[in-house]
Amino acid sequence: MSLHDKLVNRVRLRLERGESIETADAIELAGVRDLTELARIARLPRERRHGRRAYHIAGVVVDGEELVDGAATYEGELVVRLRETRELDLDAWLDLLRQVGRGGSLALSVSPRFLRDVSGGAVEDGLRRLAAVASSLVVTAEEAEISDPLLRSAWAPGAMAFDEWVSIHRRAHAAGFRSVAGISYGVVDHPEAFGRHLEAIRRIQEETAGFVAFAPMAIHNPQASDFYLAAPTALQTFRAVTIARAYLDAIPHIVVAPALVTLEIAVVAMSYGADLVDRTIQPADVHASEPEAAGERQQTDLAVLSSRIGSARTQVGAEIVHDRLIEARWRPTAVDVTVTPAADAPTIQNAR
Amino acid sequence: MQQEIVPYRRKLRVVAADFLNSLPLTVEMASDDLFDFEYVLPSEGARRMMEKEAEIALLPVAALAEIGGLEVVPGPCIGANGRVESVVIVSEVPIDQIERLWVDAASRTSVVLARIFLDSVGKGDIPFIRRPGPDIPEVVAGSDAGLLIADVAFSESKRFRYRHDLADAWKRLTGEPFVFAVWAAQPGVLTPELVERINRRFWDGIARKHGIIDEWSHDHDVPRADVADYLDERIQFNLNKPAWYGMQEFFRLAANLRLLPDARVEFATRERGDGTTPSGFGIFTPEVVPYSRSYAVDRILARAEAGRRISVHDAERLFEEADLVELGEVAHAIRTKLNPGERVSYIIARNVNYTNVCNVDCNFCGFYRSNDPKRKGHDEGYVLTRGQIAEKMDELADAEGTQVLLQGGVNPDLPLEYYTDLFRWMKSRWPQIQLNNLSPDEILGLCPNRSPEEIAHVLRELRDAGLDTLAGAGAEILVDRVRKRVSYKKSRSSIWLEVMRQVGIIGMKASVTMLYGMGETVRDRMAHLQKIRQLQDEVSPFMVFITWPYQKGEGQKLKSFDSSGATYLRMQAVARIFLDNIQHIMCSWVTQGPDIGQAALYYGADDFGSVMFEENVVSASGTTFRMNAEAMEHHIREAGFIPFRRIGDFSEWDPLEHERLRRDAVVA
Repeated sequence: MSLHDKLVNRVRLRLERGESIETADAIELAGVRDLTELARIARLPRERRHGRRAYHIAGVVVDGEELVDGAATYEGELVVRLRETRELDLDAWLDLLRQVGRGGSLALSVSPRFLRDVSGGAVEDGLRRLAAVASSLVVTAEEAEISDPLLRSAWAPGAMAFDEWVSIHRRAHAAGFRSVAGISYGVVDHPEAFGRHLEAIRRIQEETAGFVAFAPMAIHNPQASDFYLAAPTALQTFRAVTIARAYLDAIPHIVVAPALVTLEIAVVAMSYGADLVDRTIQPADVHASEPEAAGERQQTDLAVLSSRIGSARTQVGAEIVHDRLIEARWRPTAVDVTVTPAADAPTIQNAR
Repeated sequence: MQQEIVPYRRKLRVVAADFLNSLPLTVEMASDDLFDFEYVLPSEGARRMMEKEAEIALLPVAALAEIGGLEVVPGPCIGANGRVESVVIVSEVPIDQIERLWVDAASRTSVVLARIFLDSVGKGDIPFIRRPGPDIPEVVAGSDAGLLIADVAFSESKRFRYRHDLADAWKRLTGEPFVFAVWAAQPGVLTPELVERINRRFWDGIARKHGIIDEWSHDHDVPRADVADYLDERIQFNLNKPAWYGMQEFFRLAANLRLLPDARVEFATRERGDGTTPSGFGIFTPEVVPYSRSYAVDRILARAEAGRRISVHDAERLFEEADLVELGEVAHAIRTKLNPGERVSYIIARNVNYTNVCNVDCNFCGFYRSNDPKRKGHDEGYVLTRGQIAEKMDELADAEGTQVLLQGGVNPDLPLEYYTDLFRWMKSRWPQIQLNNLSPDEILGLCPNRSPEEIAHVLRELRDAGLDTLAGAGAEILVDRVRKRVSYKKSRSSIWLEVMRQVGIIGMKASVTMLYGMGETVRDRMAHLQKIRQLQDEVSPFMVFITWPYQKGEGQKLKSFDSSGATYLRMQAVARIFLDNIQHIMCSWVTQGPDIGQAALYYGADDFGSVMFEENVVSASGTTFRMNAEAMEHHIREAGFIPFRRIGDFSEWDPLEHERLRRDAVVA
């Protein structure tokens, strides 16, 4: 039996016995390229937790900046992504959210940066006040990137320090709020850094139990030298999801984001350990992604990226997600941003 | 007075052949008001049962195994307990000296029986060559033998030096009778009352046997004694215990030789709805333990992985119920057995859509333009000039391309000479580039009579002009009910298959496709696969199978269904498992994207298709993707495989040979 086979068997046996796998195993799993083996590894922990259920975020997703810019009205379930403060203070945001939330239920998906900036560092107070105007609230994985400082500075120089990111999440957990952890993964593998980052996340979860989900997030690079290097392949996505599911046994949900990997891949990823389709995660949330180039090159790059990941399918509504999951023989369950079943599930109103 | 409302109940559709040996079973059924009865050929009856256009059929047992999931009526059958005279292998040399067998492939059961018999005498590997039944006696000479069936067997077999009655051979081989056909029904149709009714009709028919003999001998000018001898002495009509064992043994031996899927015969219950049992018929109903549904899916997967053939019903159940990853595992295992080594091929090729003028009007096609001046878009029709084609071919040659797919609409203004001249020119200018041109419908456009002989002639002319392989386009779904709805003017499935049959007969190769998601049923898709598999068994025309979903484009009316990536992987995996006689499966990244295409390498695909210079037909409806060779190799390597370049016939690309051919080019 090869070393590779021994690794895979060792991991599977541990998972069958309900034991945790080591960080070293997670690092070695990053070298597995056989989709069949990945599925065998991911299957048991996913089935034990969720059976044939597949979750997806209900409601219409809008960026907070749209609320500032426009006068649109919304009805039904609304999920507002709060990422940039646009120099408004917390009171102004709360007013805006109260107006918007009058039409129906309001869920907030709050980035750590927004929370830090709008609350002036008083994270717990900021969370409580935001939660008061919403039916549900979660702190997102944005700027999780990678914990390795060298890679972090190379990939995502604009992201906040990892320690600060961790601190915000810990404080949110201590205040009784749920959050989503994450990691960025790209075309080039860094198994050691990947494993150490997961180890850090696992340690936090063992202490606080505050992460409700974990989101591997694909890095996009429209300016890659070759278009096929613009985003990770399906295999890289499935592998990231499988390792997350196998290793992070204390985090209930593993996320895939259609906007990062296409809805088609997101649905197939359900067979590789994922269980939650999150439409609130957008490419801009991954700071390691290259910003879109300005000017003439933009259209070409977007076309290249489109051809690479089929972005024609990335902007999807809840209904389409629901239908795709049924077509793939899953039992879809609409949930809110804290992954609690939505009150009116499975009927979906005003899906975009 | 209130009128009694009689609920509408559609009559059960019943089909059977009107051969002599089936008349006692059918003559009374034909006049029963409960049934909408029709006499059809056995192959048509099998098709109707497979495509669910009939509820009950007198079905050849081979079809019972191939379709799967049907229920058998206990009681009547058409069998033989020894010599029958109607299924005979004839030759002029002893059996151990025969080297080929001419067969009438219309009788699949007899062909399978012939193969089993020949295998038992050490001749299991000799080729079977198809020919119309009445023509077979003429070609039996030397080491060529012939399988004669029914009337031809009666009238011609006695003049040959060596005769092997296959029913007699079967009896000697197994000790059991051979069952040729039984009454079979779609699941859930048979009730105890219906079984009783069918058996009553059967016994009524038996009671009329002498009348049938008189009529038949008069109508066919055959001595009454011969007809009586056949029906009274040769044919066994009772599906008794030995006959049932014989049938099971036939299924077992045929499955072991991979001629038929494993067949698990289900019998309808003997009991009435009130728990009582009908009496007086001598019906033998063996105990059969039903499997639970999920267990059955596991068994199907296990059998498939072990190399056993699966039925249409099995494939349907896999598609509907099997876990995607388990399907992928088995498909991948089969792919690896057929194509050992962790290698994935791809090709540098180009589609050249030489004309968009087409008179077929498919609902799902956004590419074609009609040649009717009254139709919109008529002025957008084109036929590429030689110069335009040369430009595209030069681009392909500069990229070291090895194949061109010349494909277009069915243009009624282009004669055969247009194509032969074009191909000769292409072959002389670019000898290093293989011609994988034209679809069956384009071939049929050149055959006004659409006869097999004409089709073969056109194919030979094109082959002699340089055509290397035929593209498999236009298969869509090979179920006429679906074809009529989505492309009314397109060829019916039987004629499309006939083109491919002739491709195989003249020794050429082709690719074959399936376009799904146009509102057909899952059974329709599996029926499509079955027709392909059966043709591949007969004459092996196919090198590769490709499937993809229809995607509704702008302005198109036909809706699309089941177009997700997950369904695509499922469909491809089932196709890999079912098509156990086609070596290659190509993934369709053009329609699914490179990521799903990459995943598809673990769901049965061993080929990544072609680098696309241009693609107009599929792009005209729905999203398509583009990739270069570096991108393809990247995706293949990332998935843990070794990429290698191939040429059109799936052999590995040899750059030296490629260069040698290129230098041989004749530039006019």
